[in-house]
Amino acid sequence: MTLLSPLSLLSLFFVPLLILLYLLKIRRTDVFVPSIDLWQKIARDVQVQKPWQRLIVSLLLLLQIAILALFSIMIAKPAIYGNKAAKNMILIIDTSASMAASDIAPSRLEYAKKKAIEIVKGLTGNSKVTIITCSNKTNILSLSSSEHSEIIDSIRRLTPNGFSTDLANAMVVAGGIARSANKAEIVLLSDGGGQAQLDADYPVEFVKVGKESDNLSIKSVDYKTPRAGSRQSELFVSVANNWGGNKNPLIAVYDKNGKLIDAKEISIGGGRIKNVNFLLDRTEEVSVRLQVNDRMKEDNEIWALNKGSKKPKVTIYTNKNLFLEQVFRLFAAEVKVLKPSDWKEQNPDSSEILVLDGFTPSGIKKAANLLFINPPAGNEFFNVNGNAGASKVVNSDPASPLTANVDLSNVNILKGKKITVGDMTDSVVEGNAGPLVAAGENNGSKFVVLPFDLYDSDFPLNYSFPIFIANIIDHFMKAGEEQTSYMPGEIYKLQATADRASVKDPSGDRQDFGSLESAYFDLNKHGLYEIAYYQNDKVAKSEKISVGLVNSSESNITPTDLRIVSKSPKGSSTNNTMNSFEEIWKPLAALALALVLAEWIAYLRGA
Amino acid sequence: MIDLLDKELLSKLGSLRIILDKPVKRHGQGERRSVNKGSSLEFADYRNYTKGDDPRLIDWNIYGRHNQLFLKLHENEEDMALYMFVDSSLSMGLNNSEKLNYAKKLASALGYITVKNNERLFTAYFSDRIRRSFRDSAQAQKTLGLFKFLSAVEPEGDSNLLASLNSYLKVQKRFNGLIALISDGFFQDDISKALNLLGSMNCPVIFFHLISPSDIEPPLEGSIRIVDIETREKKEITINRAIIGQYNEELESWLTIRKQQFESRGMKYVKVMTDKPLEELLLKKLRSKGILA
Repeated sequence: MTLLSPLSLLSLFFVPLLILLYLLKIRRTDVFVPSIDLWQKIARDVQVQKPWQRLIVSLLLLLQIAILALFSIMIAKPAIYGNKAAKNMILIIDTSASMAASDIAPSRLEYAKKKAIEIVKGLTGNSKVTIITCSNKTNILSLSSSEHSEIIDSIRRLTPNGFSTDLANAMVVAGGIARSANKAEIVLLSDGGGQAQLDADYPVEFVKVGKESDNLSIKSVDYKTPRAGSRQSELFVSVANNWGGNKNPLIAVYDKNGKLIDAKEISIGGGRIKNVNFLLDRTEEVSVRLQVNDRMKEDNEIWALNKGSKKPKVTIYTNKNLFLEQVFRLFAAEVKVLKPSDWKEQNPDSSEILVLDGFTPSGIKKAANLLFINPPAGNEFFNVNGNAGASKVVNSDPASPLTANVDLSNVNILKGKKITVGDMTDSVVEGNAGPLVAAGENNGSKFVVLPFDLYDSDFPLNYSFPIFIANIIDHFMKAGEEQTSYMPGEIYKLQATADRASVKDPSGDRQDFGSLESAYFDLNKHGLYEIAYYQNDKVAKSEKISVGLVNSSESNITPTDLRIVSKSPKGSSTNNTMNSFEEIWKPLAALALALVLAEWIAYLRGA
Repeated sequence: MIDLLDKELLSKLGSLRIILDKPVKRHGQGERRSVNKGSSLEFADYRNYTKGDDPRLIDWNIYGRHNQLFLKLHENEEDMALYMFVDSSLSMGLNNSEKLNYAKKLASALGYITVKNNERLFTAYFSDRIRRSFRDSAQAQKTLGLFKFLSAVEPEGDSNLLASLNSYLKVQKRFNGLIALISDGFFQDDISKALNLLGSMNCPVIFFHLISPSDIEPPLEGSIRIVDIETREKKEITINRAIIGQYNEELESWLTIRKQQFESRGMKYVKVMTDKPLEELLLKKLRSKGILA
């Protein structure tokens, strides 16, 4: 027999304390009796004026010492060598979104938790248990702990987190722990994460969780306004049926207030994808819900954000350029024309686009998107190397959105500037004397350079000019729309173009960020996040992002017979014999209980 | 009066009288036989005439036959005198004076019977000495005074029977009648000396020993310090079932000794439970013991 927690024997210190209590006199209440004569032979307690009294070794005292000693031994965890071998059990529990599927009531995760608890309960008392949860990240809940009751509690607290699955990473972590442990065993409780085979460093026993694949999901949504100024927008919804049979789901579209806007019922065959179009009154965002009875609800709703076209605010710094004024008034929400002498370091009116015609200010800070026209030398974005002569377009980047649907072959330029593109600048259109259109990005701002005066070319008179300007506007305004849809569990990096930002998550909780340098937040919740960027305590920019399980492998909830291929044979970890103990607290507890009973009887009988 | 005895009980007591087993030695003329020879019609003895004797008592028939003067002596029928000594020590006042209140009622009843029968009454409260006393002639209209006297006393002092009797005898020299002692029996002195003194008076003695429920089952629990109400002596004790058991054995033994102390001296001992109705004591128990008739 041995003690698993020998330090607990320190509690035997309470035994002398108990004896001390017996030595101390009790503060007694005075009670009057008619005559003390009748009590003379009975009252055995010695009356002295000292605060202590002679120790009378009574049965009561002996029983109390025995009970105390027994409890001390019990908490020291006495154990005997047992027949069952102790193990280092490593349990990997899949907590990804698909584990919320209800094909095993109440859910796959609940079933996995139950199995995990059974495994822990079946281990010997001194077996060590490691609990690893895996979704898109791998977390170690407990590492080589023999506190089985705490481990079971932590397993009971697990909930599916709605994220994707990365089983491979969990295998690596578990393998690392297993290799450094004695008699390690790894058990993976998962639905397979849609995978058929997985490599692992160490043998893994796979416990398959899940039975059915009955699930439909929203595979993708696209919501956009086809033309600037249009009052209507198009919503494109793609629905996937991951199940074998035909289904007739209803696709319902709601506005931000939860009001139903439109709905369509579709019929979709097993394993097929179906696309549906909606023409809606223009709104910033809509919620698309797939109303169908399936086994997983997390992928049945997504917010679709309208990608535009959004009319920007434009400020033009020019001595006079009617071409620019007129063309921007076609597409912009507001056009402000200022003289270069009016330039201030701060961006007036939070304009999204600044047009700098024949003028390059010094000290452009966190500026909006910049269109340089005929820039003079000296700026931080690109180099101007003198003047260039007449030029024609010789090459154009067909993949650039700036040149989409733009014919520059007939454009003639009388004179211009020579610019040199650098690390952050790409030449989009090449002329005889160097770049005629260059684009780049600096410190979060996009910029486009036309190194010639519009009055020195026939470009403004060309029918392609408005299209080109429209492309520039689209290019600039895409800055905040590059990615508006995210998967749960992903991390979002805030743009460092403002003083501070505030993020409101789908449940309405706000998080403020004072400094936006390397500011991130976790996208843990399904739904719509609203981000407000502040400049000088005014909202300089606001944007929304949608978080949901779209086009996720998690939507394919079909449990797989995952085959885990181990690089090393089973038992290749250190195979030293681990002592196996079985705790024997139960008989001791029964004995302590009997002693308590005896003590009570002894007390009643006046021992 | 109403506090002590109710009217119904009083009406029942009116027909009772106290019976004496042995004659009272001498007292004034009354309805009792006296050991003193007197002038009643019942003949007792003769004695020689001496100078100063009442010549009306000379038996002239004997003088005619023997020519000698003899006085014809008769049994002297006298009033019974009742001497009640009621313990008013502190022990009688415990638990809301349950024993003292009962003693007051018992004394009232016995006093009422005595006065009702035109007999003399002496009543005293004692603790370490005679505290208060009440003497009345055989006049029934004085019962109200008796009840007032009995009502107005509070427990005080420790009980010392010998000292109390001596304090009485300093004044009255002797007893001439029935001595009734009402007490819980917790005397601080050597009771044997007091009883020997009483025995030497050649008077009938009845001891009414009052026992309350709290004497049988003391309302004590836990670890306490018991304090003698009279001597203030203290003892620490932890009450449990075993301790109470031992106490009951001690109590039984003590009661037996008390009873023997009285009965061995020809005195009557009456154990009185204060939780029993007074009427039951007077009309049943004392009648069955031949104390009341």
